[in-house]
Amino acid sequence: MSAARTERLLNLLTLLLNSRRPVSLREIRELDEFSAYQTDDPKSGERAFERDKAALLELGVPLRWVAPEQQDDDEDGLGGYIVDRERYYLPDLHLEPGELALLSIAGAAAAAIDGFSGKAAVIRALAKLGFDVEEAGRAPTLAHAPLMAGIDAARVGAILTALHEAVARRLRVHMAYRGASGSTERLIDPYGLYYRQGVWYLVGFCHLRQAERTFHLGRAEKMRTQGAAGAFSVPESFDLKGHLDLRPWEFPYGERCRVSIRLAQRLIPAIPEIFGRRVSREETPAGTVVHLEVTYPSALIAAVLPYGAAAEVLSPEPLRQKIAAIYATLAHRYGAVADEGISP
Amino acid sequence: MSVSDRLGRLLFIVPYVNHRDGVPLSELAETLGVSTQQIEADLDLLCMVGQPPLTPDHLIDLYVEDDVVYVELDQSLSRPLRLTHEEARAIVLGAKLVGKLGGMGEELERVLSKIMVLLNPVDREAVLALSQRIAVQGDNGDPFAQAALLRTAIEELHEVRAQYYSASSDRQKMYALKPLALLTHSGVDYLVALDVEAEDQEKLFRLDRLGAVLKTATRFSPPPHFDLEKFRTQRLYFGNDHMTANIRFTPALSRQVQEQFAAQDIDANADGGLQVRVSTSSVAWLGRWVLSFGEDADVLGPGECRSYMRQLCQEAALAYRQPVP
Repeated sequence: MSAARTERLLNLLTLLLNSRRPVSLREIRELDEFSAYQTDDPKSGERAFERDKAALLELGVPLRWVAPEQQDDDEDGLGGYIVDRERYYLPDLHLEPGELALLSIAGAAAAAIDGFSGKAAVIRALAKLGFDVEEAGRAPTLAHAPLMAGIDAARVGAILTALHEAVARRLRVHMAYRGASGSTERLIDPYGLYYRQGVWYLVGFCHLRQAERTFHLGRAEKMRTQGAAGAFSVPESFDLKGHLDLRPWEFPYGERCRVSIRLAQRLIPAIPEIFGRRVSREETPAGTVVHLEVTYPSALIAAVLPYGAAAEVLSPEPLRQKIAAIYATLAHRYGAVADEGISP
Repeated sequence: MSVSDRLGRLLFIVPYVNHRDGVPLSELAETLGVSTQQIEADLDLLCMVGQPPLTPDHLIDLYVEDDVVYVELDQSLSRPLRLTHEEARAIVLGAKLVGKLGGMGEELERVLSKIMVLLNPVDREAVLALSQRIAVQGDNGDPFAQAALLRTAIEELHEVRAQYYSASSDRQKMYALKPLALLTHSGVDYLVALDVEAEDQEKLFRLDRLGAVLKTATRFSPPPHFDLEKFRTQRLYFGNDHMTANIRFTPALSRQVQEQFAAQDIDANADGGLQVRVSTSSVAWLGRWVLSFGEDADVLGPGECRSYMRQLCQEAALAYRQPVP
């Protein structure tokens, strides 16, 4: 925006903020400061005014038009514009320094989202929230949610920013998506977003598949919103946190089976990391055993393999045999001798 | 710069300076996240605006003296403009990223509710909808039960004793720690602390690997130059990397690997698979990470990594040969 237009917007805002009555466009036009509205073609000047008005509204200025019949002393009968002071001024929120510190942690986390375009909004928000607080408290805490190194942060950031609006206002989105079997065009009702291990995911109703689907945003090539707000309803049964609550071996890809794993003593503090906090645990003479309900065994294999004999699957036997075979193959690959009976 | 960026800043400067009876240029620049040169340009513009017709007593009257900005006439810009939904949305989003770290979730919810009342009903509904439809790994389930105790120890500068499983050394140990900060990175919560028995070396401890934690009566002085912001990086480093390992992946994992690593660390193999260079200071950490890919990945070098893998896999293979009691 040019300095001249910024200057004009500030003048317009200050004029309306100080006026005790609505000001008509004719009165505004008569002022030298608003020569941009004084064009030979009145419509052109009017459009310039409308653009300025829209810019102030976008900024959050509570500017409104008051019809002539709503005014007692509108002699010209033209109606006029006013800025509602009550709704303009930020009230004192009586934030404590510690509360401002918490908000600052949140703001800093949002501002650092890779590719996020709302950094200036975060800075403005924190400046405003700190207006009545002399000094922010001390809160040695940091939150950071980076994207994986191989993901195009600028593209995902732009998509994410648009999706915030789409999810908040229930706008339908059109997405070019690179799936496992190639690129497809998808029309999606975006229900929610979640972040896990360096990746943002969109969950929504996919019109192509006619079912709820999850989309890895690093694989979204293009996205645009489509149509008006409120284009769909989010089903009451939709459970976003359910997506995050699931451990990979709980993905519903197969028959449910109960798996028992014996853990070495040193791994006990790491149970929440490896198996989550909902795991069932049993103390046996042979050591601590955890029991899991598993519907996707491959994911469980990936979870226990890093710990070797320290996290030993006891049952079911077919799963135990499968893991035993993987270790035998790997031991051989890394040069273990075959005469100990562990050749693949 | 968007329409709202500069205008929003200009509308903030006037009431902020007036409210505080003068503000140094540098403080304005820091608060608003721009250079002092930008603030000076903003002030030049503000001097030319006000309430038309622009007679001298209708102009915003501000001046700079000894690098401190003062406002004499604010032309009714006496308080900042209310939060916009874009601003509120950004803070709500950030709060999601903080999650329940250190038991802060409820406190943040309470503070956010103070902000929500400032929005008009339509914007409030939209921001609340977004708040309910964004989730971050780690913000579900019960937070680590002893996180509140750690927060108190950090604030009051008390040492703690903590039981911990270290993946880099593959052992469990009782640590004496000087806790400095809590951190959530990529959805995982950590404690940043100085390890008393390792000459106060700064280390990261995953909260989901911590066992019992005990706050002791011993107080400590915080290190003078501790910088928490250094952890705002793409990858958290666990010590000084002194080794680069080469890992080979089968074609089945190509897409996943390309997303996880920067392009300069990846080479393509003739079979369609990939080879990746990974820096680490811990053979154990690297070995466990590679094992999570099963037969689809293997360490090509260095030799000490392959030896580690051989020993771990051999022991496991032998253990799995034994009958289950």
